[in-house]
Amino acid sequence: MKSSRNLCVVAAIVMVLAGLVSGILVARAVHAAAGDALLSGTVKSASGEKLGGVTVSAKMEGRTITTTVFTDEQGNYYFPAMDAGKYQVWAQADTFETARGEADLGVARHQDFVMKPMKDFERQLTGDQVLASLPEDTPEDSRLKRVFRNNCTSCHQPNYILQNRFDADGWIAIMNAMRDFTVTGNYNGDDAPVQPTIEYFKKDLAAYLAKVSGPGPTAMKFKLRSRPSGDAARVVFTEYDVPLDPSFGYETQYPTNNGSDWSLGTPSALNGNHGVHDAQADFNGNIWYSNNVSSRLISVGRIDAKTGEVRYIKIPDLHGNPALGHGIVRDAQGILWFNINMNGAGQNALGRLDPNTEKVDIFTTPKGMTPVTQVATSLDVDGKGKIWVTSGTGALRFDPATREFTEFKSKSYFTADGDGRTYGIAGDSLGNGWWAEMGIDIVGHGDIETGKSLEVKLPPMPGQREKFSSEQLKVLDMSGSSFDTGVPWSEGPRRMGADKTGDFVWVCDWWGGNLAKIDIRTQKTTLVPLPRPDAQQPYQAAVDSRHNVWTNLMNADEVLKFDPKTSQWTEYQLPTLGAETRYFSILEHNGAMQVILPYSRTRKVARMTFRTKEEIQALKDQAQKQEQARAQLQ
Amino acid sequence: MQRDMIEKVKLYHRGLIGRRELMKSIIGVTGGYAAAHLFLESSGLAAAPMLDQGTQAANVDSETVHFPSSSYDIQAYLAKPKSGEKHPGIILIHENRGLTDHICDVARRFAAEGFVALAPDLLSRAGGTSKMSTPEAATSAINQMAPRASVDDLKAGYGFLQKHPEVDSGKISSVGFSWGGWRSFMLATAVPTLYRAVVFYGGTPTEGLQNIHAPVMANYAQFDFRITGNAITTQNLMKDLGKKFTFYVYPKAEYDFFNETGSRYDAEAAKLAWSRTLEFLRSSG
Repeated sequence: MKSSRNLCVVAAIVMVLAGLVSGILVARAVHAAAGDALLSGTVKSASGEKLGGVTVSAKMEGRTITTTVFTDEQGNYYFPAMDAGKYQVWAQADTFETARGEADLGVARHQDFVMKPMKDFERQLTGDQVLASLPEDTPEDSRLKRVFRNNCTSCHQPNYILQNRFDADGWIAIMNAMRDFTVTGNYNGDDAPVQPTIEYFKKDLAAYLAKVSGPGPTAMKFKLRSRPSGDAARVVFTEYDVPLDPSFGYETQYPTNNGSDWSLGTPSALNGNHGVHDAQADFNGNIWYSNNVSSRLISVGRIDAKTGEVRYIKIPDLHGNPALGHGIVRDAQGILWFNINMNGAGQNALGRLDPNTEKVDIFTTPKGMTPVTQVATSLDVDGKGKIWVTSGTGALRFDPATREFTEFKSKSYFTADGDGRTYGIAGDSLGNGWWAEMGIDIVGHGDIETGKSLEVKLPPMPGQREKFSSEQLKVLDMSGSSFDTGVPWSEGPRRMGADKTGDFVWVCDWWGGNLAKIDIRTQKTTLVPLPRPDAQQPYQAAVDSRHNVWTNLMNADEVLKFDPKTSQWTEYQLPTLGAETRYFSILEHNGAMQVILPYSRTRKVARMTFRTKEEIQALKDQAQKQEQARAQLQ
Repeated sequence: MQRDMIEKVKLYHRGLIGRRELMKSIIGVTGGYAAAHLFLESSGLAAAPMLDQGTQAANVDSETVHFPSSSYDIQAYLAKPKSGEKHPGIILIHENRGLTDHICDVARRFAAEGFVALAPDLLSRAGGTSKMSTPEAATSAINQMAPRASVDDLKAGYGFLQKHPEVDSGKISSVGFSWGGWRSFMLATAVPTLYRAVVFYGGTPTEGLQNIHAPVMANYAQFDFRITGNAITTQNLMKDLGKKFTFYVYPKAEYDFFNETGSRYDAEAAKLAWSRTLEFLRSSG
């Protein structure tokens, strides 16, 4: 795959699938009437200290929707109005036992919690906290921590990996099992190539992991993050349970550990938990998600925002099986665009779905053009309404009006750093495309005016090569980087977002722990480090209409907001441990903003909405009035 | 247009142009590699007759041979010098596309260099490469096969060469490419009397290295990171076990760089790897 600057415009082949799409109802939730019952309370420690930033969740019996709020600095929490009924309510904070209660909501209910300290709290911790706690005081530890971070945590949350304890031989057995079997448990075969960096560092890495998560006391020095406060404590999460794929006959309808109870530890992604990958809200508030794992039923899922009911859309591939996707975006008209693998040569395609009619159109690239990628496909809509989607060798731009694809091939593909397969993509305000070549630290750029492919090379992370011996450097140089593994000095541009009304593209540097801010006119690039760049790894970025930059941290179960005007970060912590978001999207509609978060490890989709101080004060006043009224009646 | 292509095939038969040039010409007319192959197959100008005539020009003999492996009949392409004396032997192991014309070409090149080269068709258990409808079908069939079954077939091929009257039974080596590269390395773990093993961009076995007696040489491509990144680990493992292992990395080359019929062919790297391979196979000690 040599460099090239091809611009090729040809008519797309269109296959209309209207009538072929079948919807199957699988999860029926109790229909909710508009509620006005208020739940509030106070959370204190056993010593009487009021605790701010405590996560308080409520779920009505028989329902699939969990609502979560956070306590304010006085330890008080206020749920939005909910339906009357019996609720399980629980409060959680790191280093405390989960406090549980039940509330039968009539009009208003006050539910207080007392949090007791938790002795063995490691299992509660998110991946960023585990990563931050790993020892790095000696050169050897510092080296191995980096090897662990850049080779293990692209696919697995650190808290998932390290919640289990093994001696060094046990960790070697784990690594050998990962060498010999795929993530779904299929045997790779004796002759499958092995991951070189892990093979080289295996013994040392096993000893390091046994030191931090082995039979003896851990060498971790726990560094915990702050609980949410301010704006981050005023948000409301509405989490929708997505059933396990019913076509595979799991014993339970939903995951047995879905991350809602942190004391159970980080859920395993096996046994059907994976599959919910990218998600978008439509203009009616309903949520659509892509399915990226083998299924007999599901190409796309739809969640009814009011009832939580989940419906499946099957888009038959060329063999009649559900075609699978990965990315899904929404254009300005509310139309959803997604990639879909029709399982034939050149049949990795672009799909269009009208959420109102559920009509699906499939567009395949013409012969001679590189098809849409099959793995880790991303899409975006540029400021001019054109659809950008990743191809194996660069990017494709699709014009919904003319139904034509335009191909942009990456200028560089193989370099000494690794291979340049495309990962994330973004279309900017001017209609240019940008795409990430994660393995070679390059951001490709399709210049729409000239039709040429350009590129931005990110600088290597300073201070990393120096940690390694000459032989180790030789191994790392020869191994290079790819999607899953990065050399210690790699930035690892993963997914990205563009300011649709501004001048910048923001690229998530997965291993670098920063956002690369690229000026779309000059390509001038500035690296903006995350608040804790050694522990936090950004996955996807999006920019809202106020030019705030948002990014999700897959391993931290967090969403961050960055205000470029003030350089201030806000950290929004998700209520689910092991959510493992690999994408998020924003909907700004009818004057309100919401963030949609698909959970790839725990089979849920969350909606994050925002409340002002005044709105919470109004809730507080309303709750007090309702309680007083009830007291008078009694 | 077809006449032009037939002329090119005739030139190839006479040894006046190489296979790469032949394919380039046909691809130029047909518009693609797959179409070129289709033309050769449908026109009656397919591999076997060309190869027989081609061998005459190279002063080597070639034939299709058979040998048993377990209950299977394994077909193989055998190329040897015309001299009739004893020569060192080579088990030549193909990529995951089956026994292709390219591998037969390589067998003849080894024969021209004084080796008796046996290239087993490791799709024999599935009916043979010639029974596959497309190259993709061959790869698909090969991916279904148990890796160790192919090693058993190679061991049987080693036994065939040992008994061959024109082979020096003490100097039988293996050379494998990509999918066959791992099998060349594996054969060294399975046959203690193997003379040399050469690996072209293939993986290292995860067990059995302690059983190796033959010196092993590997030719790796720089842009084949997943394979090449293991070179130093392999070197260290072999050193710790007291085994001989040498490797070369070819800058900016991709895997399959030796295959002159493929899109990743790198003439300079292929030439250097060929000379290093011959030198290694002829070395002693």
